[in-house]
Parts: sequence; structure tokens; C-alpha cells
Amino acid sequence: MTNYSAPGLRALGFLFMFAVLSSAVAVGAQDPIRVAIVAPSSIRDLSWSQSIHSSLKALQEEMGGESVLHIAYSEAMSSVSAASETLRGYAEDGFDIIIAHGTQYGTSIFDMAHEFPNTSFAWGTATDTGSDRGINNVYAYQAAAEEGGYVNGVMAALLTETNVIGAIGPIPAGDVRLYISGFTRGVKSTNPDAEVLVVYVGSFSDIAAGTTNGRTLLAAGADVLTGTSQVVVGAIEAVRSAGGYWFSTQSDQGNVWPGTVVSSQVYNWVPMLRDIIERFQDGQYGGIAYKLTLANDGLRIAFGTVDISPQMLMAAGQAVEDIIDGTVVISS
Amino acid sequence: MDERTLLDVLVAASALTMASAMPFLYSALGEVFSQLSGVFNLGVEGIMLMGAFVSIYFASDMGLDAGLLVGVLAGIVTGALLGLVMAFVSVTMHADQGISGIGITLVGRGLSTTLFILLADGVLLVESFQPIRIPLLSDLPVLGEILFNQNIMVYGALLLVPLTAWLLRRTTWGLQIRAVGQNPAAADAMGVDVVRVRYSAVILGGAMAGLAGASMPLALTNVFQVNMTAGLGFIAVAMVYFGGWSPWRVMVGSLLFSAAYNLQIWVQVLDVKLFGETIPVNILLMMPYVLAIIVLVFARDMQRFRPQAMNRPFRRGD
Amino acid sequence: MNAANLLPSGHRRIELTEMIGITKRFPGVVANDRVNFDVRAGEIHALLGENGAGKSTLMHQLGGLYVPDEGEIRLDSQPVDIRTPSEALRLGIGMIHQHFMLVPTLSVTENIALSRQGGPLLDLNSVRDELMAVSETYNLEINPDGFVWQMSLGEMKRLEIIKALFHGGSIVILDEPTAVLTPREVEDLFQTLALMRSRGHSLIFITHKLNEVQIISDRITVMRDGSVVDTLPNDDIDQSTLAHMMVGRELRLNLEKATLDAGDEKLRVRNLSVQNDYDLPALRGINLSVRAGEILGIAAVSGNGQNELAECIAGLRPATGGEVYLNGESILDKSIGDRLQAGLSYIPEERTVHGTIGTFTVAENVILQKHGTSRYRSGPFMNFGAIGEFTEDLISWFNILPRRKEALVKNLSGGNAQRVMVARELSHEPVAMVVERPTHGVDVGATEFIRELMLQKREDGVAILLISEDLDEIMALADRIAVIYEGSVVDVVDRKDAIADKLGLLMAGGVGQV
Repeated sequence: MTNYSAPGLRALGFLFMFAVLSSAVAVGAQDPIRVAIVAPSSIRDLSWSQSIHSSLKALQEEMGGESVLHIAYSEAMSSVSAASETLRGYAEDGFDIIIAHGTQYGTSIFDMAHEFPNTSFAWGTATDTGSDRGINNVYAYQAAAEEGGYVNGVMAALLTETNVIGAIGPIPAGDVRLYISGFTRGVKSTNPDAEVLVVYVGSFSDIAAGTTNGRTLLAAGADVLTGTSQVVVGAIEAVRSAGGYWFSTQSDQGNVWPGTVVSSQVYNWVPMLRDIIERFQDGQYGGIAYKLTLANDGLRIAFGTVDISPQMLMAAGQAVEDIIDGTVVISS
Repeated sequence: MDERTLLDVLVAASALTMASAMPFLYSALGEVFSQLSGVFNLGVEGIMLMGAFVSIYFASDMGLDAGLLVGVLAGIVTGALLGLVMAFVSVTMHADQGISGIGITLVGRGLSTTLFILLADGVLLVESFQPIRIPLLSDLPVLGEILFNQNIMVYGALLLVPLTAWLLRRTTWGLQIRAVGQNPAAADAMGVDVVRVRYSAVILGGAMAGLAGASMPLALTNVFQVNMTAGLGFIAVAMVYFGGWSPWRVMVGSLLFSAAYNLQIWVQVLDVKLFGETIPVNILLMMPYVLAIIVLVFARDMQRFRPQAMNRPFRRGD
Repeated sequence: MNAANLLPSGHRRIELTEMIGITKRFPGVVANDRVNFDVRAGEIHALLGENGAGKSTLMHQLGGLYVPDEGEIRLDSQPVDIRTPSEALRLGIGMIHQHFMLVPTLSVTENIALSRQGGPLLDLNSVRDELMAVSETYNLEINPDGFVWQMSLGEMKRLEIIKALFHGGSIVILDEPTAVLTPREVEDLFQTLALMRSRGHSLIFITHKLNEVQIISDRITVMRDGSVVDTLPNDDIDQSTLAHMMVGRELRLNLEKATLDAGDEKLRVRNLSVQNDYDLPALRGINLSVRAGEILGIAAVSGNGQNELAECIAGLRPATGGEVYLNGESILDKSIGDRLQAGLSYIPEERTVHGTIGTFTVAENVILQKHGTSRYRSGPFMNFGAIGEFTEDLISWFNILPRRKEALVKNLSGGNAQRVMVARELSHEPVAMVVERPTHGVDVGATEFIRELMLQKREDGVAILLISEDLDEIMALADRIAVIYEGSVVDVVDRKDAIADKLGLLMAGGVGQV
């Protein structure tokens, strides 16, 4: 009967944790760097928001923990006006570096940047630092999503048996468009006969619609699929149930779907974040537009546990090399 | 699958339409009970989210691993409890129903997010209900694939439509629900316990919203994600207006809305051209909503069936 | 138990119903003060009083809506404790409220079934059979499968009676049952009541209409300010005595109307067509004319287009064809404000909707249309001094209670709210007035006052279009009477040639000459 007690205990834990749920934030000893993130979705979204949070956590560990680098975050800030309030709150609380992890937060950042000259702001996906308008405490950042997209596309083209490949995005804009166009280029460069079917869900959070889009692509004959943003988790499950393959981007999803996710393009924000912190300590608060690429280790290709042929692995490696040395240029 | 015939496409789209309509059916049919009794429950969205989280947490081996049926039950109980809260606030405390519902939605959204991260560390997967082929019927051409090769929760949602209609029309309780939402003073004068009838209707509506929530991870997505209902609960509330408070019309509305969404996916997949141009995705994605607005305009005389006492707390002698 | 003790429905008849020493208090008010009241089987007992006299409160305690603070209710000498409407129903007490207690979206049978404590499954067939039996026994014709929202007010009243009888209805309380009925329907109702009396029911008839009391009742109890003034048998009491008991002072029931020669035409409606809220024709090209010093009465059963006529003239509703002239000038293209300036005054039926603003004070309400005129403002600001003086004049002149210009109108009684509006409308010396059901739901005292005012305005040379369902009112005030049925003028007659019965027939769509 022991196997029955475990759920019981967990249910007790459920109640207990709920009862003691009072958030006390630990504060470090002597003046740690204080960094705040405002993210549009959950930091466990397995994609965009999780990528920045886990990068910052990794950097925290590298630098020596909470006493050196203090992290605060606000997640699922889908309302821009609410996010604006939160950003201002962090600035007023004296946070050193404030990361507005969404294109939609740009206006709010530029509205408050001059009021907090000793606070360093960063936002993305973006290229505008406002330096042409005399603003010197805003960084912009973006990921060259098309690069990993291309590498994933090359592998997908070699993996498909039906010659039909599906791609799912939330809305046709920004990072999503970059990734999908890179992916399509990768497929076409390797297997011109393969067809890439692209669908947009119309939402970042409606994962049921994501499932429906995934199932539709499967019904249309796709056996290998890819997709970006947190809305695709339902689609990955649909692909797993159907025994197909999936290529990921933004965060490493291979550990969640080990037999399904072939590879993930992982956004590694660590070098950028480290640079921003170092510059902050040197008294520089902005002015740089960062771009994560394969070349600067901002983008990494992480493989899952799916058995892949040596030929695929070599093709992927070749694609990475070609992109880094400029043999392949993926204009967007 | 090089050749996609129109029939194949329509069958595939229709089969998926049934599955996409499932959460709408459960939640909107539940809201029919609630609104007919005079309680406008805008909390459906939050109740669905809580139902979704609790059900997958009970069912998933990453949670309590108690099995799918226990998960469904947990979702229903969660929904019923939140329905009870809604009933207490709006019926007993006479609070404004719109505000109470929004409150429940905010609580459901926040609590499900917090619990998801605290208890499940942000990942919950489950092996959901598998399709059950109904013998003989599933072999029917076209209809077999659309209607008779679905999972048990889709069948359940469809069967709930006649069941709801029957409950409302043929039982004493259904008659009482229809009466207390139109003229509670009259029902009271006839010996109907207005408060009890409203409580029962709102709790049932909550339970069905919880069931709707459970149906999403357990019979559609296999996975929970923060705020995964994404406004579906509000669309379900709109569906009740759209359907003029009739279970059958609510079903038609849910199917139409889901069909429009599924058809536009196929327009994207097949890259259908209009006047030689690809139709912009943003326009396609608007189609279900445009359709809903058009139907609402044409269905405006449905307002005749509107429960006249909706949003009005009942006090004897007022 | 022998047959004489049973009603035709098989229910026990209650020989004597007594309410003894009933006191009911509400915050700040004693609604019933040690009231004694009784009614016997086979009797119609009228309960007469002005609005707020405590009649409805008393009967709500018999009907289970309120529980008395003091006193006792006895049925055939047995004390009973009635705490809910359903307990009252079980005891055979049926209450027919002034407002319909019916569910419009349900069928007749479903409305009746609602009150039957059956099993979980509805047995509509047996309910239908039982209700048809009641309908036959009492000559109350009804379609058991019709929906309430499709029924006329008369049919709805009939259904309410069937509902009461369905549960035995040993005691049936009727709260102002004739308020919404046509004269013809009132006649039918009275026949039904007489039949019920003969079958051994106890009937309580709440009203403030003196003539009805005299026609139908056996005994009369008059209430004033929460107490019983007297209970008398209905023989040889004249109306003015009753009115005096009810109001506590002398009333002039028969208005003296000066003989006037009508002057020039002031208001003219030519070929006017208007649509109702459902975009259906409400008026089908009607022609009317009102001269200075003349009251033209519009007699129509509600829903025949008279309300749309008033709203169209006032500017609240567009015309789809035709013209309206005020002083010979077309006004259809003018705004509401311009129509006011031109001398048009409108006293609407739905006072709280169109007439006054409940959350405004009396002063704010009376100044609503004049706040822009120079006398009542200084620069962009309201001149509260001038407004206050003006309001105080109106309050004393129109006898508005309480005598406080700061009182909120929603806290005023119906009659006083009506006075506020009438005061406002009459204070700017109109050329023509459109008056809709001015005394509907208003007590006798206020009715007298408002009617006298209208006659005063008539003598001042104002052209008045009076819309009313109350034929007595039209007969008392109008110089000429236009009957409207289904959006058309059926006939226009001189008051002196008009006969009430024939007007009633025409209003109900009957054919024939008045």
C-alpha cells in the first residue's frame, strides 16, 4: 500500500505549501548587483521567457550566488500597461539592471529611462538603444533566430519521409518570422522537394489552439515539425502522440520530450548578461545593440536523445560552420 | 499525402472541430444553467484554468498520478467549489455579478499559475484519453471519422447537449431554473426556493466549467501551461448569448466558431490564394470572431430569451 | 365533511379569515398600526386607501411576503403562522399582485406547474388537464400552450386567477387588479369575481378607485396612514364620503369645467407615421388637431401607438412620415430643446425614465430645462439663489411634500414625484402640452390636483393632448375624444356626444358608431 501513500503525502504538501504561501524574498549581504526581469509569459514557458531567466540563473551560479547577483522577476505580464507599472516599480526600488523581455515594452522603457539615469535598461527583441536621441542607459538585444532555424531546417529535411514539414508560430512577427524563414531556407537548401507548411496560431497562450494547429499539420501529411514560443507545447505533444519529430527553439525542450525533440536552438543570454553587468560595474549603462549568434555563442544547438544518423549530425555541423564563417548568409 | 482532396480536408477539419469545440461545449452549457437562473458568471475563465491545473495535477505521473478519471473528477470538484464561491458572493451577499466573476477569474489565473510553479515546477504532461472507435458507426464514410473516432470527453460534451436540453425542459428543477432567472419574485410566490435553485445552477455551471478546464489537458493538449485557457472562458460566455440560452443553439455556435478556426488553419496550410494573393494571416485569424459578430447582429432578437433577472440579486419583498 | 364545506376544486373553504391587531414597522415608518381586518367565504371585501395607506403591506402579511411584528392571523379561528408565499399558497391563500407574477418565457402550463411540488420529472400533461378543469369551472378561457409573453394583459390577469384557483384559492387577494385592464376586461374580471363569490371563495379587492368599490364589493374597509378608518357594508355610501374617509379632507370629485370657445389651432398632426421599438409600424398616418383652450383626449388601450405618438411629438422618437406643426410651424426637424423653446411641454408616462432624475434633488429636477437661461445662471455657473427661490415657489404652489428643495426625487412618493414633473412642465407657460396618463398610479389627492391644474391651463388657452387609458379621466377632462386602435384614428367625437361603453368597445377594436 506504500505506493498509495505517496500521492496522499503530496496532497498534504499541496495544502501545506498553499497555507504557508507568503513570498519572502531573500536579500543578499553586501551590495549585490540587483537585476530584474519583466517577462511576457511564464518563466517556465519552455521557450522565450524561460531562456532569459535560466540564463540569468546560470550566470548567478557562475558569479557566486545570491549574495553577488540578486534576481527578481515578474512573469506573465501580458498587459503592457501592467508591465509598465512593474518596470517603474523596479526602477523606483533601485534595481541596477532592468530587463524588459518583450518588444511591446519598448515605449515604457524609453518613457522612464531619463528619469532613472543610474539604472541600466535592456529590452528585446529590438535594435534601438535610443542613443541617437541622447539616451545612454538603454541596451537593445535580439537573437539571430534564423541561424539555428536554418540548422534545424537542414536536419528536418534529412529526417522527413513524407517530404512534408510543418512549422508553427504564434503570430507572424519579429523573432517568429526570423526563425521560420531560416528554418524554411535550411529545408530548401537540403531537400528542395520538401514542402514546408507554415501556420500561425494567433495567440501566445492558447495551447489548445496550438494542439489543433499541430494536429492539422499532421493530418496534412507532415511527419517532422517545428515551432516557436510557448504556444507550441500542445503541438509537440500532438507530434509525440503521432510518433513524429520536433525541432525546438529558444529553450532546450529535449529533456521534456526526449524521444520527440531532435534538437533545440537554445538562446544563451549568459555572455550578453555578463557583459551588461561588467559594463554596469564600470559605469556604462547602455548604448549597445546585442545580437545572439552562433558565432558569439549566443545561440547553441542542443541535441536531444533521439537517435540521429551520422549524416544528419555532419550536415548540422557543416551548417553551423558555414553560418559562422559566412559561407551561408541567411538574409532576413 | 501529396494529393489533399477537398473531402479529405473537410473531414480532417470537421474531426478536429469536434475536439476544439469540446471545452466550449462544457463551459458554455454550464453557463447556460447559471445565466438562466439569473447569475451571469464571468468567472468561467478562471474556473476553467483551475480545473485544468487541478485535473492534470491529479492525473499526471508528474503530479499525484491518480489516473485520468480521478483527474476529471478533481476538475469537476474544483469547479463546483469555485461555483459555490460565486453563488455565495452573488446570491447570498448580493454582490455585483460581473465584478464577482472577474474576481474569480483573477483568482483562478493567479492561483493556477502559483500552484503550477510551486507544485509541478512548471512542467506537467499526461497521456490523455485516447480516441475510441465506435464499432460500425466509425466505419461510416465521412461521418465515421468526424463523429465516431473521438475520445470519451468529446463524446461526453456532445451527449451533454441533449441532456442539458432535457434537464431544462423536462424536469421540475429545469423549470425552476428558467423561472428564477426571469421572474424570481413570481417563482418565490409559487413556492420555489429561489436561493437554492440559483445555488444549484451556479454550482453545476462551475462544475461544468471545471470539467471544461479538465478536458483541455486531459483530452486535447496533454499538457498544462500558464494561462492556457487564453480567454476561451469569455468566449464561452459570449457563446451563451449567441445561442440565445438554448443548449442546441449553443452547440451550433460552438461548432461554428471552432469550424471557422479550423478552416482558416487549412487555408494557411494549403496557402489558398484570393485574387492571386496569399490571404494575410491576421485577416484569417480574425475570421471566427468576425463570424461571431455577424451572427450576433443577426441573432439580436434572441434577446427576447434573455433572463430578465440576470445580474439582479433577489430579495423577497423588493 | 359535507359538500357545502368544499370549493368546486375540492379544497376546503375557509369560512372566516381574521387579521387581528396587526402591526408592521419598517425603518422609520409604521406601515400597519394595530389593524383588524376580516373576510368571509362568499364575500368580496374591498380594501380602499390612497397610495402608502398600508393596504398592500397588510395583504402581503396574509400572503406570506412579510411577517407581522405584532398581531395574529386566524383561519376559521385557528391561529396560523405564514412565513413564506408558499406556505400561504398551501393554506389556500392566493395573492394576485399588481405587477404580474408570471414568467414571460414560460408557457401557461409551465407557469402553473412551477408551483406544484411534484417529483423531479415534470408531468405537464396532468398539469394541463387540471388547469383546463379550473378554466372550465370558472369560465376562464385560456390557451394552455400559449406563452405568457404573447398574451394580452387581460389574459395574463386571467392566468393569475387560474393560478390562485389551481391551489384551491380559498382566499384570493387582488391588488389593484384593474390598473392595466381595458374597460371590457374589467367587466370580464368582475364577472369572474362574482362567480367566485358565489362558489364560496373569500375575495379581497385592493383598490383606490371609488367606483369599482361600489360596483363589486360587499363590504369596504378604508385605510389611511397605516390604520383602518372604518369598515362598512356597501350600501348607500356615497363616493364623496368614501373619498373623505380615504383622504381625510374634502375632495371635489366632480370637476367644474368652464365652457370655453376653442381658439386657433395650436398643435396639428398630419399623416404621421411612426415605428415602435421593434421597427414595426406603430402609427399609420394619423391626423389630429388641437386648438387653444381645448383638451383633446386620446383614448386607447396601451400598445396601440399612443405612446409613440407622444414620444414623436416630444422629439424622443423619429417620424417615418408626415408632419407635426406647433403654432403652424413644422417641428419634426427641431431638437427637443428647440421644441421646448417653441412652447411645447411634455409630461411622459414613465416618470422615472423620462420625467425626472431620481438621484437629483427637487431643485435640480425643476431647473433641468432652464439651467441655461440667463435668469438661473451667472456666467457659466448655476445661480443657486435664483434657482432656490424658484423651486420654493413651485413647492408651495404645487404642494410638494416634503417641503424641502434638497430632497432627492427618488425618495418622494409617486404622487409627489408626479407633482415635481408637472410643476416643472407647467412653470414655463407652454403653448401646447402632451400629457400621458397623468394620474396613473397617483393617489386621489394628487389626481384631483393634477386634473384641476390641467383645466386651469386649458382656461389659460393652452392646447392639451391628453393620452389616457382611464376613460373616466378622459370623459371628465376632454372636449373632444379621439379613439386610436392599432395605430389609426378610429373615430373623433365631441365629449357631449360620447358614451363611455361605446368608446370602450372602439378602444378594444370593436366596430360601430359612437
